[in-house]
Parts: sequence; structure tokens; C-alpha cells
Amino acid sequence: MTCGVAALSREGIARRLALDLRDGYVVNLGVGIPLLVPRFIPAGTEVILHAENGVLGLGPPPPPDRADPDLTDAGKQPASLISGAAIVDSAMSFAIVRGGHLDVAVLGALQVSARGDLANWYVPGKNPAVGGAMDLVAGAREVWVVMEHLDRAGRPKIVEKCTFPLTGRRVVTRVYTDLAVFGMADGRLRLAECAPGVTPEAVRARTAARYVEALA
Amino acid sequence: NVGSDFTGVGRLLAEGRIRRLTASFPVLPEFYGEYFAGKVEFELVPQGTLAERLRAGGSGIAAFYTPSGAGTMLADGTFALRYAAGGGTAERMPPRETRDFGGREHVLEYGIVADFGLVRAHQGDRKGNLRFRLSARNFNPLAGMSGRRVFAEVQELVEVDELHPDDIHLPGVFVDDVLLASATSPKQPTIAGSA
Repeated sequence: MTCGVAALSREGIARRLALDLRDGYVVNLGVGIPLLVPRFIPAGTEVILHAENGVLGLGPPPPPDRADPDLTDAGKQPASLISGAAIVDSAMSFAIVRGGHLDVAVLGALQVSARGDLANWYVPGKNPAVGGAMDLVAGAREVWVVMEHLDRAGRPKIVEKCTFPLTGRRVVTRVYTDLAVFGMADGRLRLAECAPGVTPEAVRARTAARYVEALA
Repeated sequence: NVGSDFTGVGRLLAEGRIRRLTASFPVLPEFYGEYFAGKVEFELVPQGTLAERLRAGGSGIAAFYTPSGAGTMLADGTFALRYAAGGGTAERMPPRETRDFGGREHVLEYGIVADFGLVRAHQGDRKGNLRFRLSARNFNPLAGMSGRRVFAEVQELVEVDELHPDDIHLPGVFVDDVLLASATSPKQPTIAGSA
């Protein structure tokens, strides 16, 4: 309830996003809320999870006694494979990413701007590391950001212009938060949906960017 | 990358033998201590760009254009390559050359040809043919391509022809020396002079 309005939990945001994944999508998940998404993928929808370290067809984490040190996800956590999985080297893995063969990259964010710029890799003063974030936003067909609407200090994370260093310019295609779902239209953010019990005014009051309202 | 313990690059770091690290995601906290103290240079590169730079360097491709990193501080010359000993930035990563392809900005990235490539494989034969296992493949074939002299540590040394030609991930043409991994590689060796 960081927003003072009825907001979705982290699991709730992940559940809402999972509804939009289509059967057969190839998807890369970033750390944080994105990793909660797989448990909410509807039965009968097969989503092929890609990991930067070369796994295409990542399964759920294995029980500890089945962990194989040679099989991990991109965060070096023990992983499993789904039926039909493939493994490639890192150059091929990023050929999949940059070559436009990923349907969606689901990523967390520090900030998203009004025109879809994304900042999610570096807080100045902290230890800089980027991993595959810049390749993912440059290459995936769609970039869906999943995050809390406000930061821990209660400041909006959807802003007119990012103040944190950018991961990519004009790369975000959707934003899922605990309050709302945004899409992009003509290079501008567009409010498509409010979370249950959340009014458009409550979203407006907690968003520091201009956007178009196009609620169904 | 620098790894998360002192068995690999971390050991060279602890021994003060690293001048510059080119990596996408260093994990070892001690690395950042050395970087912010101005003792180690840090060229931060998107992971896919790093993989392709190794592949390109080993493939005779001098440089290539990629959209990864365009419009960010890893391409615009603002990221600190080296800090001054007393604080402040001593040197920045040079700005990448850019070029527009199909209405999108791309950055020029150079292939990496390394003096040495260190590879860890699951199986290898005395001709240097290597096979990796599961996600342990990742950067290994690329490190093998990039290195002028390449050492491969294998968990299993197999007879020539035991690996089917179709199943070889990195052919011996890239590999100079094959070593059998010791069964007792320590996870946290004591390093003289490290705190």
C-alpha cells in the first residue's frame, strides 16, 4: 500500500503481465518482479524462456538434489530445461536477442520516460554492471517493463525524462505497475488500464510524465 | 567477467596483476574497490557486445556495428574507465563511432584478439577438439576463438574420434594446449598478500 490506494502486490503485477503472454512466445526475464512471471503463465500457453547464458527453454528451478553445476540461469542459479530446449554459446544467444528473435524482454526499471526511454542498469555511486540489458532492449521485438509505480521514497518512476543513465532510448513498449498498464502509441505513453480499485486520477497523481489516456 | 571468488580472474586481481578489465557484469566486490581506488581500469561493455567482440576478433572481423548501447553512457564517452587515486575521474571510455542504419543509431565495436584464451570444457581430445556441457558453454568457445594462444582445461580427456565430428563445439584448430582438470581445484585458495 505504498501508494495510499489499492495497489497490486508484486505477484499481482506479475500475474497481470502473464495474461498478455501468447502461446509460443520467446521471452527473456530480467531479475526482480520479472522472475515471478512464470508461475502465472496460464496452463496451455507455452512460453519459451531465453537466458543470456545460452539457454533457450529454461524450466523451473530444480529441487536441490537435482541441481547440476553445468546448468544455470543467467543469474548463475540452478536451472532446469523444458522439453525441446536448446543450448547455444553466448554469441549465438545474443544473436537471438539482437536479431529480433525474442518476442518480449520483461525487465524491471528504475525509471521509464514519457517517450519510452528506459533506465535500469546503473545508480550512480553504486557498482556499475550492465549484463545483457542493453542488448535486450536493442533487440527484442517488445520490451515490457514491470515495476512498482513509485520508488521506495514514494517518487514516481514514470517520468518526463529519465535522470538515471539510460539503458536504451525509445525502447519500452509496455509498462505494468501495481497501479496501471501503459502501452505506447505514436512514441508516447498511453494509459490502457487501471488496476482494480484504482482510479485514473490516482494514476495521474502518481505519474510524473505526460501520457494519453485510452481506457477501455 | 571477473567471477565471484578468487579462483579465476579474482586471483589475478588479488595479486595486483590486472591493469584493465573488459567485462559486462563483474560480481566480485573487491574488484570495484580496486576500480574506485584507481588501481584497475574498467571497460564496461554490454554482454552481447562482449560476446560478439570475442567472436569477431577470432574471426578476422576488425569491427562491427551494433545497436546495443547506442545513446547510453557506455557509448557516449562519459563512463569512467579509470578513477584518479585521490578521487575523481582520470580517464573516460572513448566515445564509440556511430552510424545510422535503417533509421537506427548503431555503435562501432572492435573485435578482441587476446594474447591468451583460457577455456574450460567438459570433454576434449589431444587434437584440442572440445565439447562443452549444458550452459557451461556460454563464453568458452568465444574465449577460445579470441585467444592467440589457448589453454583448454577439460574435465574428461577422451581418445581422438571418441567425439563425433558433428558434436565438436570448438575444433582443435583454435586450441593450443589441453590440460586435464584436477579433481581437487580449491574453491577458495589462500592467496599470498591478499587480505
